Amino acid sequence: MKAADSGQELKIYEPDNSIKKGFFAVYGEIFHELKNNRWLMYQLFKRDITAMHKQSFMGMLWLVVMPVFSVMTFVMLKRSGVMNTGDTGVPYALYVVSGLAIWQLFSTGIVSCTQSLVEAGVMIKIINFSKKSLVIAALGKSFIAFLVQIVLLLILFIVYRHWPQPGILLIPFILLPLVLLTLGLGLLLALLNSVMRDIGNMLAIAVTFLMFLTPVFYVRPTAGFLGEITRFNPLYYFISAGRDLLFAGSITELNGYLLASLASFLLFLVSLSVFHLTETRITERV
Amino acid sequence: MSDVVIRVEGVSKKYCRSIKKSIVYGLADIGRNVVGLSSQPGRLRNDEFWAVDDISFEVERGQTLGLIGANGSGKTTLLKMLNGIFWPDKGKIAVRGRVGALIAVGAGFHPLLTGRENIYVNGAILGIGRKAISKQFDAIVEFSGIKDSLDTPVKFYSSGMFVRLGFAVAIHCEPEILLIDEVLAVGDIDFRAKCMRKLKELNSLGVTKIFVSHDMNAVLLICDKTIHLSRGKIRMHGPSRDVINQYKVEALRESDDDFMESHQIRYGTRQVEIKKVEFLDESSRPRELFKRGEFFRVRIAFEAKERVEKPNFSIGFYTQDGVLISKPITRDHQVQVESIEKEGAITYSIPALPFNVGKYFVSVGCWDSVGRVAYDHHEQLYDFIVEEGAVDGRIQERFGLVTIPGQWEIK
Repeated sequence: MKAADSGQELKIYEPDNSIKKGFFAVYGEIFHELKNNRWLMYQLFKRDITAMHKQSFMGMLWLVVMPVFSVMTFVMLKRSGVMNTGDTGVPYALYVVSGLAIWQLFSTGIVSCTQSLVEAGVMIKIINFSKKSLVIAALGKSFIAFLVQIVLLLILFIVYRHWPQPGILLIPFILLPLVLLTLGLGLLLALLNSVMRDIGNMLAIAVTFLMFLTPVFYVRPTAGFLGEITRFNPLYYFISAGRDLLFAGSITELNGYLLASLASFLLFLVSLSVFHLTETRITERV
Repeated sequence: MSDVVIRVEGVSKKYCRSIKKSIVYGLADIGRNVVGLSSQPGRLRNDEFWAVDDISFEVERGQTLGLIGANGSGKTTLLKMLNGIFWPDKGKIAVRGRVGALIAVGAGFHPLLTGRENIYVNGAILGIGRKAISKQFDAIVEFSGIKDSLDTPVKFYSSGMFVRLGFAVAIHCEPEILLIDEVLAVGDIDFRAKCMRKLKELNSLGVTKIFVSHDMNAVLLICDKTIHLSRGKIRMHGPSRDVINQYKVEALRESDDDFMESHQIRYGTRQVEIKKVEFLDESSRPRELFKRGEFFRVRIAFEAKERVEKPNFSIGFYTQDGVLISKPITRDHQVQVESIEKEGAITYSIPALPFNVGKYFVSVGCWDSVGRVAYDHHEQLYDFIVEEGAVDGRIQERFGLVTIPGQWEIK
C-alpha cells in the first residue's frame, strides 16, 4: 500500500483489505515498507532531534539538565534518610543514573511513540506515507536522551573512581529487546490513541506509577507485594541486566532476562502485524 | 485496449456524526479486523451516513478529471480514497502508478525547522528519496521563490510563502497521478499563474490529474471531463462544459439570496408606482430561466397616480456579486416617453441575450424628466438565470461576463 519508487505498480483498495491477507502473511509487506522507508525514518528522526528544545535558550543543554536534577533529587532523598533503597553495592548516584538511563529509554520512547500519530496532525489525514516509520522515528528522542545519560554515567564513573566492567560494551545489545518491547507497545498504543485520546492520558499516569513499581532507584525487594510484582515485571529484568553488566560483569538473573526478551519479541511481532492490518483506521478516526 | 489508470467501481464511504460513537466504532472495526473478522463495512450503524455513495468512473492516462460540487458533497473523501489514505467501505478502487497529492500543501512542515530542513523532511514524507531530493533541491527552491528565507524557520514565513514552498515540494515528487484539492486558491497572482503553467507542463508529460475546485474557470481550463458530486453521489459526469453549466444552473436555483437582501430596497415619491416586472420570452411567456443568445424582454407594468410628463425608465442588470453590467435608460437610448397617465407598461427587449451562465439581478426605476427624482425605484428586486447557449447560433464563449458577437478576420 505504499507509494514506493517502482514505476507502474497496481494498487487495489477494497473494504477489509487487511483480513484477506491474513495475519502472518503481512511480514513480507512490513519488511519491504520499512526497507523502502529508511530515508523517511532518518529524516523524521532528524526532524525530531533538530526541533527538540529549539525554541529555548539552553537548547540541547536541557537533555543534560533534566537527568542531572532527577538524580540529585534521588540522592538527596536517600541521604536525608527519607527513602529506604536497600544496599545498592555501588555508589548510589551510579545506581540511579544507570537505572534511570534504561528506564527512560522505555518511558520516553513509549510516550513519544504513542503521541507520534496524533501529533503529526493533519498531515496524516492527507498524505499517504508510512505511519510505521513515524512511530519508529519517534523512538529517536529516547535514544538521544539515553546517550546523554550514558555520557553522564561515564562522568560519574570518573568522579567516583569506580570503573565499569567491560560488559558495558554489550549494553546496546542486551537492551535491544527493551527497544522492541517499547516499540511493540508504542505501535499498539499509538493506534489506539489515534482513535481515543484517553490512551495518551492514561499512559502518562501509568508511566509514573510504573517507575515507582519498578526497581529503578531502589534495590529489588525480596519479599512482599512489591517483590512479587517485580518477579513478573519484564522491565526489571532489562534494568537489572544492564546494571549487572556495568557493575558485576555478567547478568545474574539470566533466565528472567531471556524470558522477558522472548515475550518482548513476540509482543513486537504481534503489534507490528496488528498495526499493519488496521493502520487505515487511524486516518478514519484520528 | 484503453489505458485506464484509475478505475473506481461502486465505491462508498461512511462517516460518523458523533465523536463518541466514532471511538466505539473505530475500536470495534480494529478489534474485528485483528481477529480476522470483517468489519461489516457495508452496513450503516447508528449516526453513520454515506459520505460517498456508490461512485463509479474511470480515468485514462494523461486525462484530467474535474470534481465539483457543494461543500460536503464528498469530493475530498473521494480523493483520500484514491490516495489510499483510507479504504472504501464498499466497492473497489484500482490505481496504476505513483500517486502524488496537492492537498493542504505544507501540512507536513515543522514550524521550528528552516525551509531548507523542511524541504528534506517534507520531501521524504511525500516519497522523494535521498538521491531525488538532492537532484530536485535547486528546482524546488527556484520554483518556490523563497531563496532568501531558506534558512529561516518556517514559523516566521507568511502564509503565502508557506504555501509556495509546500506546493513546490509536492509538485516535484514526480507523480504519475496527481490529486489536486483546491490549492490554487492561495498565493498571489504570479504564483497562481506559475502553478497553472506547471500543471500544463505535467499534461505534456502524460500525468493523469484529478482536480477538485470551486473555481469553475480553472476546472474548465484544465479538465477534459468533470464529475458533479452532490451528497456523495454522481449528479452528472461528462464533458466539463456541460457539467459545469448544469452545476451552475442548479446551484443558482437553490441559492438562497440572503446576501442580496441587503441590496434590495425600494424608494421613490410613488407618483408613479411600478406594479409588476416580468421577464418574457419570444412568445411573451414569463420565464426565470433563459438560454444565452435567446430573445429576452423585460416588461414593466406601472400605474401613474397623476399625469407625469416626460418620465425616464431605467433597468439595471447586476451580477450576483453586485457588479453592474448594463444600465439601459430611456433617455440614453434617445427614447422619449411623452407622458403617462393611469395604468400602462413599457418593455425593453434584447434580441440575443449576451450574458454568460449565471444568476442576474435586475433593478427597475421610473424617474422624472432629468433623471434626478425617483418616482419609484426597485433596487435589484428581480432575478433571472442564464444557462449555456450560443449567441448568433454559433458563439459559445467560456469566460467573462458577456458574449459580444464580434467578428474575426485574418488579413
